[in-house]
Order: sequence, then structure tokens, then C-alpha cells
Amino acid sequence: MQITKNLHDTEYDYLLSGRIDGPAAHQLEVEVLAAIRAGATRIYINLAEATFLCSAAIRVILQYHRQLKAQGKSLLISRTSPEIDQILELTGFRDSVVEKT
Amino acid sequence: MESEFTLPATHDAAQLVAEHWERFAATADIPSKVAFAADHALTEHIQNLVDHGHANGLSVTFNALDGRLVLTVEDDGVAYNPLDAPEPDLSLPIEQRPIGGLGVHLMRKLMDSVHYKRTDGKNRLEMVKGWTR
Repeated sequence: MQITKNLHDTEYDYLLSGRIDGPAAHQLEVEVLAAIRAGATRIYINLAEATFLCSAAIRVILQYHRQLKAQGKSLLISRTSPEIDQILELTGFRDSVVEKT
Repeated sequence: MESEFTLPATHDAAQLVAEHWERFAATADIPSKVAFAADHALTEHIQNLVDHGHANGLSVTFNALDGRLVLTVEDDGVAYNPLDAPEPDLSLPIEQRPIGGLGVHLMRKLMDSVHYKRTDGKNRLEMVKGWTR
């Protein structure tokens, strides 16, 4: 997996490309925690170029989506590929964590 | 076409199996949607075994014949039937949904059928998916 980060004040955009498996899920969590510690108020995760999304990565997204929402902040998925959209749909979490356009 | 291999149940096992699967799927000309589903199901199961199964070794078989794929994973860990996990209640609000159990849920949803058997001190999980061109 490759992570590209764009930062605008306290808004963080992460573009995740390739295979998001167990080690990549850990890498994502490290990035998200660093953003939260740095004062991020909005975190967007772009999965348009992701080719695989394991449950460990979905757990990371859900955990910090909940945590930030409870603090009046947000972590959302900004875009998905059709394949990744299918995986999120199967978990039943898609409508909650994918940004509505 | 069939491929069988063994590997230690180490932290990189899921990645190694995924690499085997990618080569097999290309050689056996598995449709991309089936290959995608099988990749996820395999990865989720192998990662569960490595994280929780206390296995030393894994034996993995891929069999594709006449539009039917059978993935078989045997391990020598503690008795573990992933199908014992309850199906998540998708109707609950996100705040009330348990976060665990997603991997097994995805395995069930992505494959046509999943069967578990415990024999001779080993767990055997068989996952099946068919296709038509």
C-alpha cells in the first residue's frame, strides 16, 4: 500500500493505493493516530485506488470514525473503487462511513 | 487445475498465501470477481488463524475445475470453527455495532459456501465459489 497525505490546516486527506491488508491496516492506524495527535478535525480517506480492503483496515476506520464523531470531529471515506464499495456494502457500514456527495 | 502447498503459520502467512493465490488465479484464468472474493476470504481466514489459532503450520489447496473453485485450509492449531461466530446485526446503528467478527462475515458473504470440519487434531475449512462465463 502507498499512502499520500495532503494537509489543509486541520483537514487531512489520505489517498491509499494498492492492497490494504493487515500490515497496511496497522500503517493506516499509525497515520490516523498521528493526525489526531496533531489536532486533525477532519480526516478523509480516499480508497478510489485501493485494490483490496481487509477487515482489520475496516476496523481502524470504524474505530476512529466513532471516536472523532463523539468529539464533534470526523473521519470519512471520501471515495471508493467499485470493488471496495462492495466490501463496505457487505459489512453494512458503507452508508455511515462513506461521505455523502 | 490444483495447487497445494504448506507454510508455517507466521505473521507473514496471509501475504504469502495471497501471492500464491494471485499466481494461481492468473494461471487458472479465474474471473476477476471470483479471484477478488477468494483473495479476501483466504486473507481473512489465514489472518485469523495466525492471530488467534495457535497453529504451527498451514496446508492450503486451491482447486478450480469447470467453473467451480474450492479453497481448502488445514491448520494444526486449537479447535476453531469460524462459523460458530454469530452473524452481525446489520440493522443496528453504527455506534452499537460490534467491530469484531467482520472477517468471518466477509468470508461467508463473498463465498457461495463455507464448511468446517475438525478431524485428526486439525481444523479444515473449505470455501467454495462457482461462476459462469
